[in-house]
Amino acid sequence: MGKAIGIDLGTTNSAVAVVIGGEPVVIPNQEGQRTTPSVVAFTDKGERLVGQVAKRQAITNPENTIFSVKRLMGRKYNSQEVQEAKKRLPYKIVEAPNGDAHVEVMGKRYSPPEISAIILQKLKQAAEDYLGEPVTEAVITVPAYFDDSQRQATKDAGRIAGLNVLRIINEPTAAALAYGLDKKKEEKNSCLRPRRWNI
Amino acid sequence: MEEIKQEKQNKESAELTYEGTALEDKPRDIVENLQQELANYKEKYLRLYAEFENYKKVANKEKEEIINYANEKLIGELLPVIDNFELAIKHGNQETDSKWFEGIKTGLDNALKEFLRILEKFGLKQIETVGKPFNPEFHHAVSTLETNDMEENMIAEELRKGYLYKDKVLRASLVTVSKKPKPLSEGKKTEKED
Repeated sequence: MGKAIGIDLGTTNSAVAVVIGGEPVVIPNQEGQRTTPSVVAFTDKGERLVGQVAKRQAITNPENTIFSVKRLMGRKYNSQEVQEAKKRLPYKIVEAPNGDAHVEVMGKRYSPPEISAIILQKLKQAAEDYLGEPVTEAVITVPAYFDDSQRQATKDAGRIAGLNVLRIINEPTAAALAYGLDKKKEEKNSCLRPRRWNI
Repeated sequence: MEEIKQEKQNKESAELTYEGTALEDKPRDIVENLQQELANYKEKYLRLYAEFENYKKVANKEKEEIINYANEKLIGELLPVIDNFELAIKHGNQETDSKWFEGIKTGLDNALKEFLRILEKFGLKQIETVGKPFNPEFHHAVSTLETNDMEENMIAEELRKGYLYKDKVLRASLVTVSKKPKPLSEGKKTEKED
C-alpha cells in the first residue's frame, strides 16, 4: 500500500498534500504552483486542458471551459442552486435522465463527478511525480454543508480518477486537525474543541 | 537401594520426557513468534527504506530546483519594476517637445536595456506575443478582438509582457486574442469585448 494523499477539491482552486515523516507537505503541480485552478477546458483540437492553462484560455473558449463545477456536484437540475448557477455560468448545463445536473461540451455530456475527476487526475499525477510511486488512496475534503448525494458525488469523482477514497472529511474539521498537527500535548485543547462541536 | 535409585532416575527421566514434550512445543511457539516479529520488522524496514530512498530522490530534486531556480523569486519581484520603466518610456514617447525630457527618456531607455541585459544573462526571456498563435501555456487571454484582418486565435495585442525564467513561465503575457466576427456582427467595425 502506497501513501494516501489529502485533497482539497475546491470550487475555485484545488490542492493536494501528503504526510512525509509526520509532517504534511503541499505538493506543487507540474507548473510549480501549490494550488491548481479547478478549471477544465476542451479545445477544438480535441485537447483537454486542466488547471492554470485551462483558466488562461477561458475567455477565448467560454462555452467549453468548465469552472465552479463543485456547485453542481450531486445536485438535481431543477434545484434552485443549479438554476441560479445556470444564469451565471457560460457553459451549457443540461438535465440528465436521472434528473441530475450535467454539463454539455461539444455535444458530449459530462457529469460533475466526471469533470471533478479530471481535476483529481491532475492532482494525482502531481503527487505521483513528486513521490515517485503510484498513488491509489486519498482523503478528500468537502464543505460541512454537503449532503449525502454531494458527498457521494465527490467519492464517485475520486473513483473515476482511479483513487480509493478512504474518507470524506469536512473542510472545517480538516482545518482544525491541521491546526493541531504541530501543537504539543498541552496545547492540544484548542484542536480538540471543534470535535466537541461535532464539526 | 540401587534399584530404588534407578527407579527414581527413570521416573525423573520420564518426567523430563513428559516435560520435555511440553518444552518442545514452547520453543516452537517462541520461534514462530520471533519469525513473525522478524517478518514485521523486515516489512517495516523495507517500507522505511523505500520511503527514505524516495525522500532522497525528492530532496535531490528539490536541491537541483533550488540551485537552478535560485533567482526565480527575486527576478519575479523585479518584473513590476521593468513594467514601470516601460510605462515611463511609453509615456515619454508622447511628450517629446523638451530636450531635457528627451535626455531623461534616453537615460531611462538605456537603464532598462542594461537591466534587461543583466536579467537575460541570468535566464530571463521575454515571451513572444503579437502575431503569434495564442498558446495558454505562455499567454493569458484577457479579451478577444473580432477581426477579419487576422486568422482566428492569434495574438492581436499585448497588454502586459510575459517572461520565461529558463524553461519555466515566470509570468504569462496578458493578451488580446483574435476571433472571427460572428455572422450577425458582420459589417460592424472590429469590437473589443472584455
